Amino acid sequence: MLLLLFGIGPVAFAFVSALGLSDVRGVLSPFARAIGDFRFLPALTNVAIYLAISLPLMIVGVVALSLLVDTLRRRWAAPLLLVYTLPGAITGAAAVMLWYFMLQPALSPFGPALRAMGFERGPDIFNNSFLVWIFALMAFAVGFGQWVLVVTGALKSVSEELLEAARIDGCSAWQTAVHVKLPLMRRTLLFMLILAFASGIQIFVEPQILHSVAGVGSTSWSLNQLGMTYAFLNGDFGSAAALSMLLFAVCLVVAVFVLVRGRFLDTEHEQ
Amino acid sequence: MHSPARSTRTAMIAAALVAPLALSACAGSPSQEQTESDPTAPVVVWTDSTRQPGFEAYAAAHPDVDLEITVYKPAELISKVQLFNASGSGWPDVVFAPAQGADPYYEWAASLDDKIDADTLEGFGTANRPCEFNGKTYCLVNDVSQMVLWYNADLMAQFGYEVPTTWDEYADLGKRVAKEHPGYLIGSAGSSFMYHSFFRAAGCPLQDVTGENEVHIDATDPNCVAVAEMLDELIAAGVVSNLDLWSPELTTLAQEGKVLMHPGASWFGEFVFRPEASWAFGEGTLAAAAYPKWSGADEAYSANAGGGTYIVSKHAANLDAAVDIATWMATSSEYQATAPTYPAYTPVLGEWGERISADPFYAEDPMPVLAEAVDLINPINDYTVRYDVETAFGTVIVPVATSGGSIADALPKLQEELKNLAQSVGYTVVD
Repeated sequence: MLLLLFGIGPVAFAFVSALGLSDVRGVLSPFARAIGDFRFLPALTNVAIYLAISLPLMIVGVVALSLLVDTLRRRWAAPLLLVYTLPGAITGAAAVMLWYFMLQPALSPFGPALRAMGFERGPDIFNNSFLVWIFALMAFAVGFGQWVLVVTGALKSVSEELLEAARIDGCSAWQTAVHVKLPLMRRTLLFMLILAFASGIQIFVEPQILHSVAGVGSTSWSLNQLGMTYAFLNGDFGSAAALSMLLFAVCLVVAVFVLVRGRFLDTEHEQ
Repeated sequence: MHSPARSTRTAMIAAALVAPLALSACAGSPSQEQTESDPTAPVVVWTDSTRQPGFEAYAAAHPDVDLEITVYKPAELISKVQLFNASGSGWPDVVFAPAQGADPYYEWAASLDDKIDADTLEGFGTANRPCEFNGKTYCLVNDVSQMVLWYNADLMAQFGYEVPTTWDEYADLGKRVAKEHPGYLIGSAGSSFMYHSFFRAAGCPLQDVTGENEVHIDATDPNCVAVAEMLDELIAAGVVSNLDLWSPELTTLAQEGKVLMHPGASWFGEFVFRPEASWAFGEGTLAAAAYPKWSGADEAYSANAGGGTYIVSKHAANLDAAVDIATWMATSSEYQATAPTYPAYTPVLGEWGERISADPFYAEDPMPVLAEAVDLINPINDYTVRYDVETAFGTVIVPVATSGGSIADALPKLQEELKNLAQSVGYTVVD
């Protein structure tokens, strides 16, 4: 019922708005306006580069840290996992502010380190060419802890016999990780990929807030920001809905693609 | 077989699909403009927290009027109005907001010409220009932020410098400071505020309204190029900082006493130079001089860097009371004399200025200079437009300036950005 009220209902409403049936400028014109806007391509490019950086970073980082945690003894692994999940406790707007203070050389406790790397002043770090990296770092810091927790959980379910068998067959720790553990993490990683893609393509809070505090980026840096501009600055709810429908469609296609190509729903036997 | 559970689900899906259609149908029906004012209807007021005490004072002085005061973020007004326009109800009756919210394009603000007497409107002088759209008045300006040249009187005397009266003199002084006292600053151009203090004041036509939904934008106009070249030269000389006006780095420099002068709005004295956490100028050091004159201009024009306005909804049930509240907030000395910002309504100025004139914080009374500057706002960019030039500066010019690039070279890109922006909100652009 909640899904109906707050999920399917709004999507259906957005779909109807996006079709432009009540639009004076014609049916389907919201899509044309949304895509034809001069800010669309730059926003699309920004988000695409951001995804190209943040998704691999997330996957490689989570896999590496999970394998590391898994090789440790329980005594060390538990506190380490706790430490990993801590950055995830600060999310959204608060995380952006935290990162702003951390990366602003004049305010950061790591100021000397930043200056040593050649970042003398705020604009040296907060400039348009570094933005995607900053956002990718933020997303990683906020998200990696919980995923390492989930993935190590999945690894714990690997039976001792299997690992024992691998050892007897002469697998090194590296070979065990790549040939035994990695395939067993696959489903969790695919699930993570779908969710990280969906949240990444909708990036909004980070560029919006960083623009207002550090004057970097713009109010239409990302696609979701652009959607808000369409709706609430231009008063064009139709093209905002059309843009949202496009994002929704892309997420849906990617999710289905990952599920099908990743044989996510196959049973153990079929594999 | 047709199970009951399944048919319920089908019905719910059908409902989910139909409901939005029904909703959008409601949204299509035009709302009636209120013609009769109901004196008993409550008046819904939206204000920021700074103006809240003013509205509360009105409520206390007028127990017969039922005020419902809500504190909100004025920047959100237009988005809310668009939502209410779409749903056909929910508008507040009186708001404190930027002048953009009064634009008749949003079909929400009441026109005030026939509701407020002409004498009252005349009391604003030219300060109510931001509220005029297509020759009609749609709001009342609360405060003006005219520009003056703020300077450190002690340092100027110590260095033996004269306060510049033209921008050519300002640039020449900059070059002297670079040689004789390197490290001292005569301004900054690293935030979008530079639009107001330099480009807008110089009459660089970026929001020059020429007709209904028609605007003249030419970022490569000689006025714009001259300002950009002056800034590029002074930034290169190190006397105009390319740090963000609000950055911690510039704050530190100012606290170290490195700001010799800085062109700025009327409120800079109280809110930028004075606070301990900001530039922390000592008592008796800050003075204000008239804004320098741009070469080729007939007056020493500055710009109005925005100020709040009071807007009345044309949907207000108790329209008379709503208009009265807005008028009282903008013009009564009970409220305006206590307001933190420079009043747009001239008759209350005497009372408001007493506090500033007597304040030992200033090296000399800044009121005469401030009062003169109010009448010298460059009319070219003084009317309100729906696109935000400051945002465009933030996107196009600021990154260039802060990274040491040439502002003059970035002007064609600014032109393209502004033209696109203006067109996206329904303007015809004349370049």
